Amino acid sequence: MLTHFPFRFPWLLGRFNYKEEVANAQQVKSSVHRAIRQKAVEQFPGLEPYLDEVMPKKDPIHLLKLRDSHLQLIVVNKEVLFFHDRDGPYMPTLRLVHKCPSMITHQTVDIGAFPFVMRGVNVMAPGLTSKGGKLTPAPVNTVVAVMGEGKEHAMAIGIMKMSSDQIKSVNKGIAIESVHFLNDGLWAYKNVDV
Amino acid sequence: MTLVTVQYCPVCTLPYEFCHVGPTPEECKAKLKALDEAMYEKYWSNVRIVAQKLDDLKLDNAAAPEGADGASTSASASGEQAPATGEAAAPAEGEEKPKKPKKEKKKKSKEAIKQVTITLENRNKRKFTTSVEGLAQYGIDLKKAAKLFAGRFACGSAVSGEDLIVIQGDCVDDLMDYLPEQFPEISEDAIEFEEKKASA
Repeated sequence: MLTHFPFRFPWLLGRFNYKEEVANAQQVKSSVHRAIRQKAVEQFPGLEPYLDEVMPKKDPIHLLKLRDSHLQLIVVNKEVLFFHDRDGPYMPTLRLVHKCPSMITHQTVDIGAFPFVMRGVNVMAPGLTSKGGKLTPAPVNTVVAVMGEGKEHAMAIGIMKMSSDQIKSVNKGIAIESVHFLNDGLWAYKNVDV
Repeated sequence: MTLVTVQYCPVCTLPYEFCHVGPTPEECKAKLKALDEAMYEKYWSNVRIVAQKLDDLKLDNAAAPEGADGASTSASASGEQAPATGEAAAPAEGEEKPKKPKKEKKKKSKEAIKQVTITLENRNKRKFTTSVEGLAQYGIDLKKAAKLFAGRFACGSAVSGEDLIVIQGDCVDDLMDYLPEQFPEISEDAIEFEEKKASA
């Protein structure tokens, strides 16, 4: 698991054209529906209390496959909830994390990192270890939400490239790889028509 | 368990607290001020502190006077605030509307010229047909033109309807070059390209 990084996220470039990028949209059958729900909870135990609200059993799940990559978007009620690569980890969208913030590990960056995070730049270790930042213990390759110092809501979703201990000891280089940030192409992709 | 409802800024779609790092901070600022004074106070008075903190980080000297009048919304509180409200109105109008007038202008100018429309239609996911409309206005023999396209693009091409040639395949880019080359009376400006949306 988790071996396919880094890979391409078309929306990080800012544009995300549904017509161009989505190769195939499909409603999943009930067994896959169940599997997706299960995998989501497995990966984000904090999601469980909310699960029936964000992914009701009755509401159909649509899988959008993206062209030229193995990315899939999981869409429920016209909203993208998760995306993932091949059988990689599910990564929630920011809209979902805003709805149920407790589902995911939070890492807080200091104010100096704001403009960079908002442009989709990977989070560097000092941004987490400095005074304004807050590092929550997490192993390498965890999907985390990047919070801003003094802010209530998540500003990016990323993947830990180092474990929290490593970040502390090394304090250099990429700590969290950004996979989705506020106002990127995926953020703008709402009211999905399937 | 209930879900958190996050309010998003109508201008930049971000949560209000991120407007100031968003694409259109000034517009958001003006909008929120108009919408809800209390929210405005909550988020944008904070921004001053944020900006101040950034300054602290850079210059490493404390800006004491800012904290003193932080509560009052007076425009004098910080240097950036004064120009902000003034500018806000202008870009708000400028950025949202330019799309529409442009389109209208295009259409108007093209009605004057004899217009050739190229339409790309999606038949079946990856299969396209390209239709060309308006060639007859130039006195071009449609049948001959269709054959010409068929030969040139190595695909099926037929006259189907008055003043309409349908070419099988996606020949839009080729057509753009080929039309003016083959029929010098058609200027490149007279060619318009349209894409019919595929039903997903």
